[in-house]
Amino acid sequence: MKILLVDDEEMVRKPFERFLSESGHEVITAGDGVEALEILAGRPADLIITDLRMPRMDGLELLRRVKVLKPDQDLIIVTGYAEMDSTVEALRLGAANYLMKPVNLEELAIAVDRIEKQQARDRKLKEHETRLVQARKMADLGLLAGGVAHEINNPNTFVRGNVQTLQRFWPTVEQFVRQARQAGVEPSAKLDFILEETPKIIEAMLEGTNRIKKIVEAMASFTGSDRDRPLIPVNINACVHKALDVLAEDLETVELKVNLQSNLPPVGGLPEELVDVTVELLKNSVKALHGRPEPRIRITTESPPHLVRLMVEDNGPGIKAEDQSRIFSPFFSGDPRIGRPGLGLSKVYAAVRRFGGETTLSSNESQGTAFIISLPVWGERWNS
Amino acid sequence: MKLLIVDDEEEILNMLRRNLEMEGYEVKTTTKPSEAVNMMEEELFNLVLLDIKMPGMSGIELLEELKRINPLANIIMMTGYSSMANVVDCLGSGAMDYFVKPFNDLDLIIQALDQARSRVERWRAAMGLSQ
Repeated sequence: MKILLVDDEEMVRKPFERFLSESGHEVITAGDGVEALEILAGRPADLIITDLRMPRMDGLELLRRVKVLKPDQDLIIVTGYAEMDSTVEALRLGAANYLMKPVNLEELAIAVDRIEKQQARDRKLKEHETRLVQARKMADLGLLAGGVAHEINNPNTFVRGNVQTLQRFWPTVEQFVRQARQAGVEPSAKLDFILEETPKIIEAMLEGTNRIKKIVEAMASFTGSDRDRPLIPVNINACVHKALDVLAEDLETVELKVNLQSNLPPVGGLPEELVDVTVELLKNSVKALHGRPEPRIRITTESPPHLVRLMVEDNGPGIKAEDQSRIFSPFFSGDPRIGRPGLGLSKVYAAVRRFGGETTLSSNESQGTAFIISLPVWGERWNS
Repeated sequence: MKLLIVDDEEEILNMLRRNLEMEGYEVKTTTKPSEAVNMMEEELFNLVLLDIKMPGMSGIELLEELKRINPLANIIMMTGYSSMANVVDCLGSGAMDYFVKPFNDLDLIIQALDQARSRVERWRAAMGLSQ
């Protein structure tokens, strides 16, 4: 844990600092409240341990200011018997705990440990909540996408069909017009233009319906239109090989590391969709690595108990924290420069969810991005 | 030759009618499955284009009903993107072919119908039946 230790007396700070560092914490120190705030501006701390009485800015004032900037900041005050009023005030202002002087190192360890555990619990809860909200959003989106896809498909069918009909009918009209002209009927000035443009108009309309068709297909696949198809045991390693085969050309410029666990247990899914999932993840990485120095992708499969895990890691620019929750939404793109936004990752998310698994990602701007897919081992999903 | 087209979307019926009347078919259409059953009982349709997803009766139920009325009818299914599992069932229940909406190429539907038509004609000639 990152701990900021604030005390004006080096004699007090030193033993705390040594003890906390030896307990595996990363400790920074400040001589008073002002210095503490300066440090916090650049390096947030998981926990602040502060003395009450200090020059320039005391512990209470530091606490007040910190809570304004970061209401959930954990802070422990170190206090004496003569300062009970201030201690009560500090607790009222949101201090997590207090330690009585002279501070017993064991008590310090217990207090720090308690906060560390609480923070871990909070983090887990928050992650869980985020995932739940995300799952609910995706489910709603899936229903919406399916509904829209169906509603668009029918009109698109008759638009496309009628345009094709027009295309079939047009040559008859065209031929008649040409014959009429040969027979001496004087055409209007616009006729040549119309004769030339009409086939292009028809082509453009067909192209439009084609695009609508593709979007509808993609939306339908996002909802999982084949949801009735029974799942079968699938070997993820085989899917990886297939995906690498499909993308061989795109991967030429990338240093590729493939660590596949042998004797990987099968998962329940549809093989072509799991190949698709792998392809989409790799495509995403290749896109992220475009124009980057020393592009690398690592593909790993492993089998923790009851699960099969597929990881695709790249050393690309990473995904911004604010984009991470939206990256699985259809048509979302973190970087408008990289191609057209599509359904790639939303398809991955939907397929994996349908097979009872989970897609997570871990990404930061210095190390790149890792997508992790966890799927239940085939045959075990029914027991759990 | 008589051709029955069943789809719940009026404009799809109109569009198909335009094309198939041009090809010389005598086209009848309906948007209602129950009406399709009545029409099948009253007239002899050897060719049917049938939407797989109909309100009130599933495409496969209607297919089986029409097949029961006229076991020799050549029935071609039309399906949205979402019902590939149903397509397999329909082919198992005696549908002759299927096309996915929106149709990539109308000519392919016309070809399939033309083949079915010549098959019916050959069969009728062999049986010594008139048109």
